[in-house]
Amino acid sequence: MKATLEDVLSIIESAENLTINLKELIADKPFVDQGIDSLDRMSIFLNIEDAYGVKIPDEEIDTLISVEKIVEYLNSTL
Amino acid sequence: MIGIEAIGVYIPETRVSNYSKKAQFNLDDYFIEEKLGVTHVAVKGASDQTSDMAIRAFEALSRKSDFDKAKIDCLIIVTQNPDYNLPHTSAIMHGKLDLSSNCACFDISLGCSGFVYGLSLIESFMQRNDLHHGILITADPYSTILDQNDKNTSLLFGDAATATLVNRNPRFTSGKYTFGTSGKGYSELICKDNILFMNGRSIFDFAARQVPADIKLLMEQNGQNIELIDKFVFHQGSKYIHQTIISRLKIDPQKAPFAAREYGNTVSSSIPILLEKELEDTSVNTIVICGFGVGLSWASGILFRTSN
Repeated sequence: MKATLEDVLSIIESAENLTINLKELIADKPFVDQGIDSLDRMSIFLNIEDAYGVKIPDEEIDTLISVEKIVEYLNSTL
Repeated sequence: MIGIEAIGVYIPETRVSNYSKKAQFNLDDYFIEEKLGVTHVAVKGASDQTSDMAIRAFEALSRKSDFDKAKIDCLIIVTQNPDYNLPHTSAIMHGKLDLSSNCACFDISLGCSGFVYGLSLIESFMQRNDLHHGILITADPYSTILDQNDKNTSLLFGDAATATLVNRNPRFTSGKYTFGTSGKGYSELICKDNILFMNGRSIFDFAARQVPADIKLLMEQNGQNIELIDKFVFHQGSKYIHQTIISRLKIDPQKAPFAAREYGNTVSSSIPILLEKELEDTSVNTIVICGFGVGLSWASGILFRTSN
């Protein structure tokens, strides 16, 4: 099972409490540069883990700085 | 039946403003107000011990409820920051209040799940031993263990104490409780060398997953419909955790208040602080309570109004 950009964006869209405009989310731009704060990123990773049945270690979190990086990570792990 | 008759609350007057820490932690007002949901944390007096805070909560209870101190036969304190390693803080409080020698006193070492566990325990203990006048105290001042340079903890935790009168003339009685533990996560919220450490992400994940699951189990075990519950009083961890939980449960936010803005996450006191107000609202007949946190531990209960 491979993760696609569309899949990951769809999961992000379903995450609770996000205050970002998902239509304006740029896949290769760092989250922090798009107004997505640390708490929003926790919600994103929680929903990614639940959707893919994975556990993303704390030490990996800081490297997953964009949607694109999350897709790359998932495809190297799944 | 045994249940809650009244609750007294003590929140210290001194506050530390999170706005004063904006530069230190690179925060903006929106993050403080809408994400953390805590603008100020309450801080006890430097010389106040846990038993002193407990007594102030007891005095608050005494001012609003007519009971004879000499008849108190059970006193339980929920704390993980006792006056001393030993003796138990409830014994110290017993001495300061000059309570009857017939009074059973013990402490419960639990954090944010402590009020719910404590309520179940005091009800059972009193029922089993034919006791009549119980006081359940929550008093867990984290200000003594906070690292003021830690963004994860110093912006959240505040000091407070509560005293709940539990007797056979209750305004609320309880249904079945649900309890749980995930001890593998013990190190995610821990105090070592007198300094608190919290892995914010782990605690968020735990709360977001475990609380909705436990509330669904609670509803099932009590034969209740979640849509018909009047109020949900969840542990006030942070506004973000709170909002995530109520989103996942699809609860009307009007039914699940977040009220810790001016004093912070008061650990086991967070639920009874809100319950004090709900007791007085006679339109509220069913209340779900859920505490979750250090351990990792959780407990949920459901309260039914029996009288106004």
